[in-house]
Amino acid sequence: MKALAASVGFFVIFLVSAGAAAAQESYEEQMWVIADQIACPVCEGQSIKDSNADLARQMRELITEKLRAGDDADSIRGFFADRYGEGVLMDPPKQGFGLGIWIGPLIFFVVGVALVTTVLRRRPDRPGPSTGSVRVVDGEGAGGEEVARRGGAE
Amino acid sequence: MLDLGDIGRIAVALALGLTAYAVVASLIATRTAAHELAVSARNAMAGSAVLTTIAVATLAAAFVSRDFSIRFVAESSNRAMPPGLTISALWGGQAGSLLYWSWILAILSCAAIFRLWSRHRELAVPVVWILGTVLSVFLGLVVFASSPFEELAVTLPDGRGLNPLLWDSGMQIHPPLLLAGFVSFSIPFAIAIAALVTGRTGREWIRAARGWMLLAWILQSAGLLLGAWWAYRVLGWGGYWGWDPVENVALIPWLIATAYLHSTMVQERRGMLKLWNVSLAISAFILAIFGTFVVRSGVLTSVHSFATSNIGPFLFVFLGLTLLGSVALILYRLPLLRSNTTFEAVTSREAGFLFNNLLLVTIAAATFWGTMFPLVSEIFRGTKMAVGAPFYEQVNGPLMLALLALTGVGPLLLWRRGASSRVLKRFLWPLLIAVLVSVALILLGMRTGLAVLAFAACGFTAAAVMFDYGRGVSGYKRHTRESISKAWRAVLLGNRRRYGGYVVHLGIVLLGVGIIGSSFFSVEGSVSLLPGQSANVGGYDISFERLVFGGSSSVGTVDALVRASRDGSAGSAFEAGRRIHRGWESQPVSSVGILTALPRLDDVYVLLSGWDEESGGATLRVIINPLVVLIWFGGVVYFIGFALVAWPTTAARPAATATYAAEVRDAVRTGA
Repeated sequence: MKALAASVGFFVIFLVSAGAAAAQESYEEQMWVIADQIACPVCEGQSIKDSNADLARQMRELITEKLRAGDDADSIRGFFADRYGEGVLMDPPKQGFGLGIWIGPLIFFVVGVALVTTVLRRRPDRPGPSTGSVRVVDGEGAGGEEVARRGGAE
Repeated sequence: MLDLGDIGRIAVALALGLTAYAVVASLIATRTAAHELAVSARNAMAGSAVLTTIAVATLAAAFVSRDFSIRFVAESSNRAMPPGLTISALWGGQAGSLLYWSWILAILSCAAIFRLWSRHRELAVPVVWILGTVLSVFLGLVVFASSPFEELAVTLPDGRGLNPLLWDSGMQIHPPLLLAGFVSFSIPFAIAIAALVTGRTGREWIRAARGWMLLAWILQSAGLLLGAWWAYRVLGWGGYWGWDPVENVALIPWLIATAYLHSTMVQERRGMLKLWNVSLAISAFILAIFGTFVVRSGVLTSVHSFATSNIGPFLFVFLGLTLLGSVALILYRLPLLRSNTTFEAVTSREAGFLFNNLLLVTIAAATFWGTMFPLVSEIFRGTKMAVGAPFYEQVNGPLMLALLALTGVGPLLLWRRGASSRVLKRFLWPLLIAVLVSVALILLGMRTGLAVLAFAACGFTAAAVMFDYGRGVSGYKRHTRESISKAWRAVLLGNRRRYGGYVVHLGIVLLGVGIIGSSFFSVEGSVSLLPGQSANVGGYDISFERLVFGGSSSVGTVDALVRASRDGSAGSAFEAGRRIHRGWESQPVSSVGILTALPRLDDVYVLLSGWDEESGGATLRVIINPLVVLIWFGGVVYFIGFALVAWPTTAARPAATATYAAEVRDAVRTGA
């Protein structure tokens, strides 16, 4: 058990140290990351990263220019949102109405956890062995030994 | 004289008539227990399976014989298309895919009804009217709203043809598989509803439905994977999955079916989660119909907008009625859906399945929410808000990672009992492997914490599954003193449901590794090169040799000959090009150049994005996609695992009753 605890400990330490180090990215790498978050206004359902349209190419070049000029990702996204409307952001803003999309999954998860907890906490109506209608032999299902007892493969 | 269009129209009209008869007859038979009437209803369903087959064959014949007097044939095929490809035009448009849908439904219904007839007669009769109703709705659409046999006033000399993006072998298998997957969710749905109607809510319907849910699940899996493969090779944007609405609606029923396949084990073994399982079977079907509705209605914009239509409202009404009816039926039967037993430990196997369902259903719900949100936004604010990949990656990514880790935890837990120190010991080696994986990756220079965590989770799950199998093999050896080469086979084949499932899980881990690798470490760049020049992208030297022009009267081609290497050697040659089809000049199709570089398993993915005929120069978009090849490899492992799980038991063939007895015995004994 000690070994188990120790290995978990090491694992956590390594993860934290791995997360702490972040690599430097070039303008082009940053550009592709931002391009992935902006919808192509003339194509359906694609980001300007994935689109081969002329407009998408021009927009990608504009992002690189702006990065060189020292703009950060948020202000570049804001620039495109002002120009083409909020719909151009692949990733809805985490404020106002757009917050709804982010809250939805959270609510599903919380409701799910509450349901699971209720089901797990439920106790039998009457005391006594609760083996149910199925006779349970052992907890493991047919592992190797049980297969052997049954006479090997079918 | 009857032409092909007439034959097709008559066949579908007769099929609709027979199906409607089957619905009425089986409803009366359910109430009065009239045996002959029930048999005639069953046979009517068989008749409509035959008639829809005739209709599909007629349409196929019209395509092959280039009968351009039929509107659908003229719209979706032309003389330039090879005959084999024209067959795939059958599902390339709305009218044809509706006929295809009805045909698969008729065949599957017929098979399901005859199979149930011998084993579960009480369920079989109501199943006839449930499936008959679904089939009538779709045949009704074929006959009255969107007929593929509609004739033109004049016969055209040549047809318009299929969008060239769809001229690919992937197109010949991916859509029909996915559509067949959508259709097959009808069978478990019908069996679940029949269980509610007859009040037989125990294990019987789960048993009867299991094979059909497995079928739907594997068809959906194959459809999704082939779709990803097609997108990666043909669409030319460098990825295989874009969280596009149409992809999402295909993924959602798959997630629900996966949840169902796990949670029904709890009902089979412990008599719990009855209400939940009925709800999952019904939702999978409703979501599959919803998928058809979205694919065919054009309410959501998507890269899949190949076929849009006017049948949306009909499907929507059908969807609403089905949902209301199902909820009412569940409420009516609520007393019969109570659990026989309760959960005894939070760290038991059955609780593990509960958490598995929590994660799968949350992913499904989040995906559904994201897909529908643009519509919600349009209704409330008048603007369509885009929901793209970043949302799904941030929300579903962590949930999927947790699910992947749980895949390793679950099989190590015991039924009914919490984790004892004996169980905890089983986690020692998998956890050590996870630590080793992360240490190795960090030492190798990986500095993305989340990716290290994700790979460690893959290592943990793969190790957990393999160590547990190893324990089984050594247990068998101890018991029988057989050699190891015999033991591993005997154990694998001795409980295929359990160990086949393990193989499926290993396939999922491989898929996971591929997805993690390509989503965290993909590098891309755009380079303009003259012949003989080279450039470096993501550590690979990409050298451009020259452009090659070619083609025929119907298609023009241009290809860039490219070499790629990492170590300064000449490297392997491959080509990336464009195809310009006549009549579709505005939509040139990419012919992506993909080189899988061993031993690093990087895909060098090259697109020809522009070229200059004078200088012979080319602009290439180069994407280095690490580990993508593992996705396809994992898919193969996944299907091998599925085959192990689903392959019929040879020993139990002779008599149906013996099979059933053996199944019961097996379930009591193993349950896993």
